[in-house]
Amino acid sequence: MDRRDFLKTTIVTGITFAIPGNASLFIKALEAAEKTDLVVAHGLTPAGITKAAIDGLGGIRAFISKGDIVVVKPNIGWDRLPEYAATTNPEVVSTVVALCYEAGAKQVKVFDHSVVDPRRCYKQSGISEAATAAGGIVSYVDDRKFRDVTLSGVALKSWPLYTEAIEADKFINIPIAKTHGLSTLTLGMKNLMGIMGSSRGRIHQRIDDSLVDLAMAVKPTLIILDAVRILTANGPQGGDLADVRQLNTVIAGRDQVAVDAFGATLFGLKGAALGYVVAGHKAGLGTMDLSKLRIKKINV
Amino acid sequence: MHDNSHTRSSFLFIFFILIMAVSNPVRAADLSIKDVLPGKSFAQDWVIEEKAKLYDKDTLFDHIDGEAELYFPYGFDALATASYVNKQNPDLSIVADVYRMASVLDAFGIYSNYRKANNLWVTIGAEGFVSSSQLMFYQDRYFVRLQISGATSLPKDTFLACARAISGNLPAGSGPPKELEVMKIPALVPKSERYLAQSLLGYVFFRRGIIADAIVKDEKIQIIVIREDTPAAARKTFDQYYSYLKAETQGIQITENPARMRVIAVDPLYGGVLVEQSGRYIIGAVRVKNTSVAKQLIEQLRGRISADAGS
Repeated sequence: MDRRDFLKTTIVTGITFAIPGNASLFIKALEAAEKTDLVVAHGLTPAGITKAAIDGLGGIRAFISKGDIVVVKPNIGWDRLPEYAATTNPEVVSTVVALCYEAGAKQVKVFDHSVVDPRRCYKQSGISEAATAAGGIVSYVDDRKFRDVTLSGVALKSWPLYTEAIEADKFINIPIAKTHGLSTLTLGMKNLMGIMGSSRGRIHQRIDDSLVDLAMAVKPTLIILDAVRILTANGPQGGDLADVRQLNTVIAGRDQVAVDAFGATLFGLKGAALGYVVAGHKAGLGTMDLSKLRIKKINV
Repeated sequence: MHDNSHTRSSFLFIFFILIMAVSNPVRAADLSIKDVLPGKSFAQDWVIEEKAKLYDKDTLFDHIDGEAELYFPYGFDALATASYVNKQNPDLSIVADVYRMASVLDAFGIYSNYRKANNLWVTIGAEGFVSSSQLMFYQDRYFVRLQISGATSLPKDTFLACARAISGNLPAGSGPPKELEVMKIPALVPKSERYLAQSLLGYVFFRRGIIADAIVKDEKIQIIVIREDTPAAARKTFDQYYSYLKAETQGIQITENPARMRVIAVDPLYGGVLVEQSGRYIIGAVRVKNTSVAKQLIEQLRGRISADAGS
């Protein structure tokens, strides 16, 4: 028995005797969390598969504690309806917001640094309305709330980041899977650019290392990759429904590199085809070797 | 008498200026990017939301994020963008982007990245297509992209009205780039040409060129044409490809001729290839199953470039 198993056995035994009514639920959640690196949930409703994916990792309480201030960061970068798969599915976002409150979160904040007019992006994406209805505190990014953060990375030494994102108790990253002119695909790590201030375009010169530097600093509590619809061409803004594929899938995990490596497979690619996945793997941010991961697939 | 003569001269001068203004198309040299979009509206119910915004090479990322990287090899120079809102439904708008590229060929190049075989073609600019959610065309060295916001479909006539209003503000141009002429062999699949401004076939030594589909006897093959500045430059490009093939594959057939080099091989990425240097051109057939079919295509391509090759 190694240290991990010993601790697990000790904790489970202790809790079983202390609170017998909750023990089986707790054990189930703990086992799920122990055994699974990624959950891939497939089904008809975005809400159902989002919940199933999180449950597969041990449930939202494995990530969110009572009183937490949580930031939920979807992609609200474009003035597009959800059908175009340029922004995160609003139902996926609202489901996460609702689950965070169920787990006792004090506040759940939702925002993104939109590429084009945020008023139109928030409205047309459906995210503002859906997240607000779930109790989320939806706001536009305020330029006064960026502050320089030391990153000490390979490409980025420091950068202005959004205060609310870096000061939150928990940060949940909810990207949508889509193609991208420069980085091939935009998945979880690329979605973190939405908390960056200043001239974000400048990081495109060293996009892969920059994304890893940023991901190292932010380290989301949980990543939920929306693949309800994916944009297969002309990303990141899209605009042609012919480029959209309906996959009815959500992927959840803690490892940013692993989530993105799996995301690549949705487009027929390997994680190794994405520079930032390779750079993240080499930097020890996570693993891109899917054969070494425990991946649970769920049909809802 | 003097006053009448002066008045008449003034009138004739103003008349002449007006006639010139109405009859002359927009001249490329005189056109500022800020003037390409309709200033207030393009149709009765569609009004500009706020004045046009302008972007350059340093700021294009702020408008289209990483997609900007696609535009730079084509000599992107400036973008004017505006939203036209529907007065009856303010949630509905058309976002009009006009990109100024380095040349007609470059405008075609970026346009051809978005063009698909099953598009619905419309008569606008040098060429254009429309779908339920967008319209794109190019004219002179301008690429125009219209996209819907707030709905998933819009009547094509609305897109066309906006496109025509913009087209009228652009230089008339002289149609498609002359570089496409060499592709017009009988086997060419119409509107399948793409101009890639860097790394044709993904190979850095094929710096830029045109690729298209061709069909011969039910066999689909891709044809490529790369035009270098001189025969010596074309020979250098050919030699780089030949060196690559020698390092990566076996069974290469090379035909050496001072005026024309030819290689037949199995490319590691594209299967059967027949590539030839002819004067300042590199021409080739890619994904070849039947070499005799490829030879026919190369013969036809050589015929198209014969007037220019070697000059």
